[in-house]
Amino acid sequence: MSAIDIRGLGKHYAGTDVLRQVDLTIDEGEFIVLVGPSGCGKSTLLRIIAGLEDISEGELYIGGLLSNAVKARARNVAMVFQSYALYPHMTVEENIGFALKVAGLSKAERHRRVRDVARSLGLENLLQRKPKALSGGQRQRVAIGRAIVRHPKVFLMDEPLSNLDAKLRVEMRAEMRALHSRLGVTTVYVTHDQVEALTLGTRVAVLRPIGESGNTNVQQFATPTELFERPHNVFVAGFMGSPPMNILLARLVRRGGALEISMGDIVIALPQAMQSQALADAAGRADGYIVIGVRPADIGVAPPGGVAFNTRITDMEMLGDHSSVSFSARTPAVPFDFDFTAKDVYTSLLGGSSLTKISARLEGRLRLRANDEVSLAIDPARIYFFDAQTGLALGNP
Amino acid sequence: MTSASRTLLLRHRPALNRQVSRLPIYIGVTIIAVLVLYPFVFMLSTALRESTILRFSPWDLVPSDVTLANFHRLFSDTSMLNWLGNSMFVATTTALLKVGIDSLAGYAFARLQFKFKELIFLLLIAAMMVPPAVTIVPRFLLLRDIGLINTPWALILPHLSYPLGVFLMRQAMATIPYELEEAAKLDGCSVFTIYWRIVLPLVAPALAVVVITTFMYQWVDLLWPVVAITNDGLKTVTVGISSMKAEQSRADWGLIMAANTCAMIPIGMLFVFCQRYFMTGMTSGSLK
Repeated sequence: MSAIDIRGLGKHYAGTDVLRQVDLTIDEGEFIVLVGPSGCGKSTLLRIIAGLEDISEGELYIGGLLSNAVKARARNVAMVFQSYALYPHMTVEENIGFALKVAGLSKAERHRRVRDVARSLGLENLLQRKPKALSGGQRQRVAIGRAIVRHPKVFLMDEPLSNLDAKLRVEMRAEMRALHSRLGVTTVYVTHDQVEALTLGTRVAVLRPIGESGNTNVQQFATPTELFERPHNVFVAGFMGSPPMNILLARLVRRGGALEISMGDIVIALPQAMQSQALADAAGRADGYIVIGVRPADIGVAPPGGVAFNTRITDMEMLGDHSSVSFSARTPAVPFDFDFTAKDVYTSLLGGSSLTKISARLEGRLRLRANDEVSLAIDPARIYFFDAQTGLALGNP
Repeated sequence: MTSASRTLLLRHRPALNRQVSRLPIYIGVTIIAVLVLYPFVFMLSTALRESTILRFSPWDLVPSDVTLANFHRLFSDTSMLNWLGNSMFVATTTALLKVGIDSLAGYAFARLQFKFKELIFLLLIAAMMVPPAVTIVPRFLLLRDIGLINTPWALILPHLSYPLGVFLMRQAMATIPYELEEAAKLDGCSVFTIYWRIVLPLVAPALAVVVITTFMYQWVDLLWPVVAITNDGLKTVTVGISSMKAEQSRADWGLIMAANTCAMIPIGMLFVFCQRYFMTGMTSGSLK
């Protein structure tokens, strides 16, 4: 039995769809991350699971029980809020034990469970403090303690790390992972940070704001590796990964029986194994255009004698053991959130700027400067192809 | 002047200038303080003199022979204790009932969704604009018709309808982040538990303001108790003191001032006790 089953879920506010046709099945003990840009409905979906928002359409099952009309207090779910929402008039001990008090547990039992949780989170010395006397990290721990002390069926976390500084965030990520593997409770975690999504989630749902003709918010629901290596569409490809994937409009050109990708002055011949009929058909439907994606790490300095192209560096950042380099290609960029449901999408892209900045992550300590001419190479096997009319993936690597 | 003392003087000059520039403020504040305190000192001074001394200079504030005779007479010859008891019952009951009703109504207006909420709230605010004196006659007729005139409820019930407390409570509760209430919902709280255990403790300063202002209003009110209470045994302290003057051919100022002094004690104690909350409540909402 799945821990949470969401079927055809929709949410409207004053005639505007925030969520449409959301289907997610979350198994017992999974750590699910809902990720997406602002307005994609990830927090709304979390609040619906918590019972803090009504459902406009569809069904929500928690532990196999239809929960659309079940009140928040009866769902046995615990939530960690972005602002932590600690009760300011209560001490840490009272905050953590409040749910147990409301549930009518004896003082001794409350005391025992609060002490156990405090010990596991390193809060033992802070139990008599009020929230205002705690640091951000300590408050965050109290909020987690308040959630776990109840032994809920599901943990819900709404961007719990977003108020912490970068260093503490990395530490807390590790603690979250350890906590989840120790407790094994099904967790649904919301973030807009794709690094958090990739590092924490056993599976990740990438959500997108619903457009006028979008069918659903969920763009892909898969493991982090699958999302990174086999993105379903341009949106997922562009959103997941740091630095983000370079996504460009290119032409698929047949030269002497072989297929080549032409991005203005950069031309890359495709190996025989990659010259699929699906690729040629997709390009044929879009006047020879195709969308390609290349991750910065898949661009490298050309090995001697390899297939390469010459370009001029426009910007360069030396970052120790690697360099972040930019150069330009004479072809339009495709924004990751481009609306492929509009008509004549590739022609609208052609109407924009045709000079695109491409980022590359070059390994090693290179002595390059802006305006230097370099010979770079892209491994054709690492290029992602997308249909220029739909934005959907075409047999990606 | 040595260079060291010159350096010291230069270092202290900004502080000195600041003190001098604030002098008009200090003088102004002192004048206001004297104007406010003078009546109290005069009252105490009169209460501690022999009543036979009818006239004395307004500047002669320290009596040559301090006596508690007026206080002795006050508690032996008048019904002061009874009046104080009546006032205490009326003011305390009104304050407690009012803080309960106003906080519930304020919570409903701040957080619950119901039909015509905004319109009802607007009408409540509009009711605040009506001077209480205008409603004295209809209030009297209504209470007479339901048989409450000459009972303590004639003093308690009308004040409960005054909407300022509802407004204060609503404003204070509206500043509480929704997430706290949502967290409480997930912790298993019902709407009433959220109100009782989360919201009320967080608006304690506003509660204190409602309690103190209600208590004070009821304690010092004279006009309505004079209209609503004619039974001697139910007189409040203000009505009692005012009757002391009316009942005697010649006002016994020593006795009256002793009564005033006693009447002030509960209010003073309440204010001192709740001052911290009161001051926080008066400024709550002014800063984020």
